[in-house]
Amino acid sequence: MKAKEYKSGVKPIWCPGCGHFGVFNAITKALAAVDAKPEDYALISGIGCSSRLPAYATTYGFHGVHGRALPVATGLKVARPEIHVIAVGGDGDGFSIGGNHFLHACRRNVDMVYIVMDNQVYGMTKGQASPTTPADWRDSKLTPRGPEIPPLQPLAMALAAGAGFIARGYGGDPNGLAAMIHEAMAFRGFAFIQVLSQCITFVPEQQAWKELITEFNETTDDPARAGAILHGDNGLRKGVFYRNPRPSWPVSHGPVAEPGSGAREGFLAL
Amino acid sequence: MTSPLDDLPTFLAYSLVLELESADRLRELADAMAQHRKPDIEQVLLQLAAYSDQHGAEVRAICDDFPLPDLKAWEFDWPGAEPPETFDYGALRYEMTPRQLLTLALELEHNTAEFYAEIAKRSADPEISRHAENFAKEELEHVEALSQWLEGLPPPTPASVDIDPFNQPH
Repeated sequence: MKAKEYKSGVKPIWCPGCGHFGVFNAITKALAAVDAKPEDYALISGIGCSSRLPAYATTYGFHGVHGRALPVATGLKVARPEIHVIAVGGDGDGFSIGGNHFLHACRRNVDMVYIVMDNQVYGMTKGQASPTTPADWRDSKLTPRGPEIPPLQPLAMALAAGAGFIARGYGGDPNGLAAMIHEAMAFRGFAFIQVLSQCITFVPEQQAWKELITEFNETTDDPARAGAILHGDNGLRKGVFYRNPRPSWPVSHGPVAEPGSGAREGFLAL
Repeated sequence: MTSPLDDLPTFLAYSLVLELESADRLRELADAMAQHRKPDIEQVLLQLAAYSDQHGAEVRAICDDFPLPDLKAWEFDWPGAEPPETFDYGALRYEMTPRQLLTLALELEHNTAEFYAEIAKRSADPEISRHAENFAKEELEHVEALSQWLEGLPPPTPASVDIDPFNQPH
């Protein structure tokens, strides 16, 4: 299938200029690259501008509850392991109300891709500080002096929590991002991609990302090395920082259910 | 990664994707403008998409004689992140004017003409050079047509009131 055939008839209501268009474009290109059958894939989201994405795709989709994309995605993947699950959402959804789920999804390592479209702002509610907003961003009435706290470091958090694939992409580079998503889809385990996706409406200075973002080409499988890289990271490098597969959960999947126990074949009897 | 200089089928695959992506992007952006109640910008984008369709059909007619390589999106080595005629998603604003939009389109046509002119100059394959020269000429014709379109637009007026302002009310 062609990339555009993964787009449904529902038209995005994202602002013209929004980075999420590029992310969606990249997802469709990654799906086209593997000639994915739409019915074999599910896009799962929470709430926010970016979380509207599943409606725009021809795959299965679930537009869930704020911050709960990962629990829903986890449940789907464990119940239907043959479905390829891609969870999507924003920085507020994923790192604030959904922050707890993010940590445990990294730790649990269920086989899925998680794409966070990070624009460092709550756009749907018209521009408030999010967990990744710079400490000195003063363009919201709610935080006139800026958040005054350092932004979360999602990649370092993912590493500390046990994610096996950790990357950062850029919505302004749909083709490069498509390659990264393609690689994440091939990874067995929890693959996390933070995508810098500009909100030109509420944070117009993010237009400068185009000039500021640089390539990172030193992927490592050494967590200590990855930690050193990520703790010195300026947040504006794109690439795969860490790739180190380990058994995904449920590790105990196997033909252990007793006939007649009522357990699904391949799952442990309860 | 491939190069449009590799061989004629690869060059034609580049040319075809260049036009198809341009048309798809323009329609996508037209839809976005329609969602934001900007029919004047939507119409300009659709008109530009129709031009890309026309050029895409011309390239496709040439391609009929060649089996084209099936390349993944990231296997194309464009001068920038995307094909030179493709509007950058980040370049648009919902409050932009047709004049601003056409100025951007003009820049992309210039970039595309340069892309083909560079291939014509560098290719060792005379067939690639011949097609690239022709495409560069066509792109320069588009530059001329867009320039005339821009000249025919009414003079700029003060920006209309933004009924959906960026930040919270003061």
